[in-house]
Amino acid sequence: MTTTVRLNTPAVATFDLLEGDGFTRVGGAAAAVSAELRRVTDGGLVSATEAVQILETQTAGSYFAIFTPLVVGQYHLTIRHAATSAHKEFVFDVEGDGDLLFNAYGAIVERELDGELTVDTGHVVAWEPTLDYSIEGMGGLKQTFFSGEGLVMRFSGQGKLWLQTRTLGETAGWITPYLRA
Amino acid sequence: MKIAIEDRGAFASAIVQLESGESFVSESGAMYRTSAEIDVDVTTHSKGKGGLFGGLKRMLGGESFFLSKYHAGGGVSGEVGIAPTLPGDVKKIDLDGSSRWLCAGGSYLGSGEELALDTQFQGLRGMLSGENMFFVSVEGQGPLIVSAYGCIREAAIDGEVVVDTGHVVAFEDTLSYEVTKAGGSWLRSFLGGEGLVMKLKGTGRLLVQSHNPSAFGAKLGGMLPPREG
Repeated sequence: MTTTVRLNTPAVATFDLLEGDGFTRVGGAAAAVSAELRRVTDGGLVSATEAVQILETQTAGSYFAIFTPLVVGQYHLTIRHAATSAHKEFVFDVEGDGDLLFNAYGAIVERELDGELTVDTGHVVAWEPTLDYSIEGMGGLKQTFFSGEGLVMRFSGQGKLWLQTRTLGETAGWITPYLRA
Repeated sequence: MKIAIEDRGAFASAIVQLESGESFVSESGAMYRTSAEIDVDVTTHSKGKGGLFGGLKRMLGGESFFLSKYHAGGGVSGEVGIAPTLPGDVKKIDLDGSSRWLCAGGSYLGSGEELALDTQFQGLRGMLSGENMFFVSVEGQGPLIVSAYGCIREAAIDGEVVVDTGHVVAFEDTLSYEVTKAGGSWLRSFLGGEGLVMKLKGTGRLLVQSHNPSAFGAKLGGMLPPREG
């Protein structure tokens, strides 16, 4: 069976593709795949051994350094820009028949969605593209600017969604007052 | 209102199930997910005390100026997930109205709307300590959610106990407290790196955390490049 999972790269600053099944599954979200560790970062850096075939590498605009479709065994990996994201972040589409391993900062919460859910953008790790989403402010202007929530993703439809219970961005915000002046 | 603490340990979060007409309040920015049916609003108010002054006092206490308020309107229900910033555990305390709870700055995560929030100044000594100088005081009947840096340990105090101020999460106000020096003299106390401690006296519950957030912040902050600008 072929499934597609969409990964929010700032949540998964790196994610790993593994071969075999000899790893611990974390929070029901992990899963995958091919033997040695491969790592793809959101900076577009790709490291791979001969098991990984890089089909194409090209620069897509100045901000987005690299557009790299990969085929990893049976996995098809596309690095693409989330067109509606105000953060101009990458989203990875991972497609294939197998397992995918991804990590997060915090606990990974899996939600089987049938309906709507609003999620703080920084807490989104991955979702199935059967879900629709829009990126919006939290309610009105007042809520967006004063709530501390910033932007949210409003998901709707049917599909799985993985969230992380902590964000690196908030942690970075927390440490800032402790930096030397 | 049902509250479940999920993923106990380093990355705990709280899921609050709201039935029609119920409201919950949290530190602003703590919401990480919510059902579409729930109204989210921003307020400086909490029950009883509040308004602009309440917001200012919370800010001084190391909490956000604003609170987020989640409300399930007539005929709808839904859930709100709230999570703190730092890695650590989350705990629910059910207040029965017999005592107030005092939360150390940064430990307050959220509470039922029926609980009154206020801020309490720890005194000048607290100011010198470099720790948060204020407590968030929580009063009434309803659920209170606190978060910790690290794990949370509960101690039933009967008598007297001395705790490093940075390790205090929350305690019942049936305990009287005094912020004081750790060592024999003020100089030795500061040179020894212990800074200030809290002496708690009486009978009541105390929650402590295994890690000290401001000690961690000071240590990591010192290793990072200076702020720009």
